[in-house]
Amino acid sequence: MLLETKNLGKLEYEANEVVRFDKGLLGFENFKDYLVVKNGDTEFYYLQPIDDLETTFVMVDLKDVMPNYNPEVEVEQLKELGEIGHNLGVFNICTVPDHLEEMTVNLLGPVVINMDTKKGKQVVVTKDEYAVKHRLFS
Amino acid sequence: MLALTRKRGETIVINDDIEITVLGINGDQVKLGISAPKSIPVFRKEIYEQIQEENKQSVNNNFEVLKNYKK
Repeated sequence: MLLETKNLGKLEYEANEVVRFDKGLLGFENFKDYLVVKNGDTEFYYLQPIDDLETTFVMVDLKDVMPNYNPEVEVEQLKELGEIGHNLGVFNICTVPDHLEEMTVNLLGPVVINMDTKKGKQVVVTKDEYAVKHRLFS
Repeated sequence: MLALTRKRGETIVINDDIEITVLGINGDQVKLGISAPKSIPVFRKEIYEQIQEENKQSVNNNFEVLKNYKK
């Protein structure tokens, strides 16, 4: 299948690559199906809603960039993602302005994706007081 | 919206498994105790609104900046 997106151009995908967010993202409850696209060989990913080709979210995998970021979430909140194996991805949504050093990342509401079941959810970190606008590169 | 009047120490029950108790009242502040299964997320509404607002702002990206980014 083919998507013609505004921000990423043409994207070819198979039906089994689609990640389902049953509740959408907070504020975007109507967008439930997404493609996760890696940005080359970087820690950044795109989250492309299939139902809105004008909109694209940017996510970062903080594992290597911010190793001390360990968001705590009640495991019960992840049960809708199905059985959790080794392919659980934790990503954080970024806002990318004209200058990379001003980029901010949302640490309070990480996006958790179970790649085995292709189910995703935006969760709220329970224990820590993380910022929604954290400067990653300064 | 349903309005219930409760006194200090009194509780309301929602859906058999959620209990909200008025723990204390101090001027215009009310302290609530919430007992719910762990599968039910309970947060101050401001937290949700903050993430919603941040998500909405996060769609305004300069994609060229990322395309030129090297690890």
